[in-house]
Amino acid sequence: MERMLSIREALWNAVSEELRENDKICIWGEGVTSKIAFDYPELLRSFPHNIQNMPISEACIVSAGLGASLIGLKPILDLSFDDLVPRAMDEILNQAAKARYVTGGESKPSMIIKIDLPPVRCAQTGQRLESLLMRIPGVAVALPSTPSDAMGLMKASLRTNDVVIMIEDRWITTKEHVSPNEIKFGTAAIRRKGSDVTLISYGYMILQAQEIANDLAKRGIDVEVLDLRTLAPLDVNTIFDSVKKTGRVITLEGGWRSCGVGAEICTMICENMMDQLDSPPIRLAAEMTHIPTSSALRMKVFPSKEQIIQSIEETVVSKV
Amino acid sequence: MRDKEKIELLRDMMRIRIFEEKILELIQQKELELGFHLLMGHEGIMAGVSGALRNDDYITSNHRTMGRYLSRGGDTKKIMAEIFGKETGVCQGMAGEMLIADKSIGFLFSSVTVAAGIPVAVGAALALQRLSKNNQVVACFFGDGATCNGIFHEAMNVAAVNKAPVLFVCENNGLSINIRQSEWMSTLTVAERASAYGVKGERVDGTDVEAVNGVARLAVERARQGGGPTLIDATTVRLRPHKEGLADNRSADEIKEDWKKDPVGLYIKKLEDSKQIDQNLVKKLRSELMAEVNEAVDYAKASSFPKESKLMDNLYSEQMSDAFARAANFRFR
Repeated sequence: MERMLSIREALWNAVSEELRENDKICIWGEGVTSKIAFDYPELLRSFPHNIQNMPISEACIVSAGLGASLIGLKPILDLSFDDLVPRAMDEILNQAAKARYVTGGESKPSMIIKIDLPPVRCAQTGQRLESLLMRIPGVAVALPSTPSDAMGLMKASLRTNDVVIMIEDRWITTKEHVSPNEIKFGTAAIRRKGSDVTLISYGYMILQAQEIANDLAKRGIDVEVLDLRTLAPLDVNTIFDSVKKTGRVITLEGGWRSCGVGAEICTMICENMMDQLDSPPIRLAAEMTHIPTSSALRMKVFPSKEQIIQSIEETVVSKV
Repeated sequence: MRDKEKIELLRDMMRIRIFEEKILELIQQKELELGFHLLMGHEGIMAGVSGALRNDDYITSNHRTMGRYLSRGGDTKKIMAEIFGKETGVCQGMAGEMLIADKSIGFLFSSVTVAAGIPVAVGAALALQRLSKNNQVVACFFGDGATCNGIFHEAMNVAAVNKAPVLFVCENNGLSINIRQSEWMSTLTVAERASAYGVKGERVDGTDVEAVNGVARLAVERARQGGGPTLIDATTVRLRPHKEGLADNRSADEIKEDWKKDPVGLYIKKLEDSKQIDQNLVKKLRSELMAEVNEAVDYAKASSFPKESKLMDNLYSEQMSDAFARAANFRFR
């Protein structure tokens, strides 16, 4: 029986299903038993011995997970907030990401680093750092925007022997009947077919993009909405096919503009298919600043609905 | 300790020493580049701890890996080929001297970031607690400088709270690159840092291989029986610069003083003076080990470099590599 699940429930549901087949899976994190008790209590009830609390030691959690995976466990390392990831950056970038490569394939790290994107509160709660992670060779990065994708990508992550960063976007509260199918890394989803402009995004921003696209359709602007689902690998084929068709592209993300997801995508498009563009690519992203705590300013850092609509309107009439 | 075990310890130390002397020779002959990090002066600690481990136990390391690989029973040819950057090396020439791992001999991980192998050992020990039927243990090797890194403290705490079967082995040579310990550490010993985590700290003379072996055996036994980790603070001397080619701040006199504490020389003298071995044994060992290392040099030189296609290999599992290839099946400009 399919159930209505949120992204967070779908992620833990996937873990729960896989645990029935694979007892080597373990979940380590700061206060993770109480977190799962709230999020998905049946996982804690069914597999109490596979879930272990860790001290506030992000770096140690990641590297201990690496060590455990080299022995044969399949650890899910719950780092809670995205904002805590930099505390474990050496462990992700220098240790886990390189262990297989530098040993000529002798070491086979296999672990999931699970990160939440919490609601925005201040400069250190709610920022989106995924573009710092996607450019590290040796890691795969998933950021699903629907419960079904969360389920499918978590299953794929548990079934591959790699270092996977699974980002749970807690800005999204949608529930849906989840499909139990695994989703392959590097496969973007076209959320809305369109012919005038390709709007590329992922995570929460995709919901906004879809809403805007539906509104603009009423005014005769036909937007194709592309959900990346995984940032590494990036589904370049689908991006290029879409842009070939529309000739126009806008990227939309909640992370910093400079060297961001959009920067990478727009560069690849310019390098490889400049002659097929009808207007210059546009990057919509967070301003190059930090998130102020004042509720009056907090959300001004991110691209607004008005900005997105304006960019789309401008690009569909402009020419290279 | 039986004579046979003593000779094993001696042989282990001499094997590391002769290998590293050969590296110095190869650097002089410009067969190898500068920058190697030798273990010279730490052999008593390596051999002493290694001698307390079983074959199915594991180790992790900092950047000084070559002696550890040999001490765990690694193949001299494969490590020599590795540091020559050849495809026949332990890690196909991709690791070089500082990033070696070879699970088949229990060498799980090593890292240039000097403290980074410590939490990896703790995680491995937590996994063994869960999976091992033989009470295996993990020993991690690092220097005294690394105990100033936050990850050392995080790892000690995680190991302690879980009673993880780990030996934290500090090769305490009193130097952080070129700077004396009193300038960067406020305690007199590394061992006392253990008490902050409820871990047993043992200080031992690291130039005395038998003393190290004794302490390590007790620590291993404690770990196997669920008694948790031990921090072994083994004091010793570093007989070479931090890395070959880097200036050493010590005066010639100071270095001469340090050589008086050479753990290999001290052990040979001890065994010969007490007539536990005769001089011919050391000569015999030396010539055997020299032959082994010379053969390894020939092997390394005759081996091929890895192919250029290796540049992009082993970043991901086969499955994930395919996903990357499928997602962008064209040549980027």
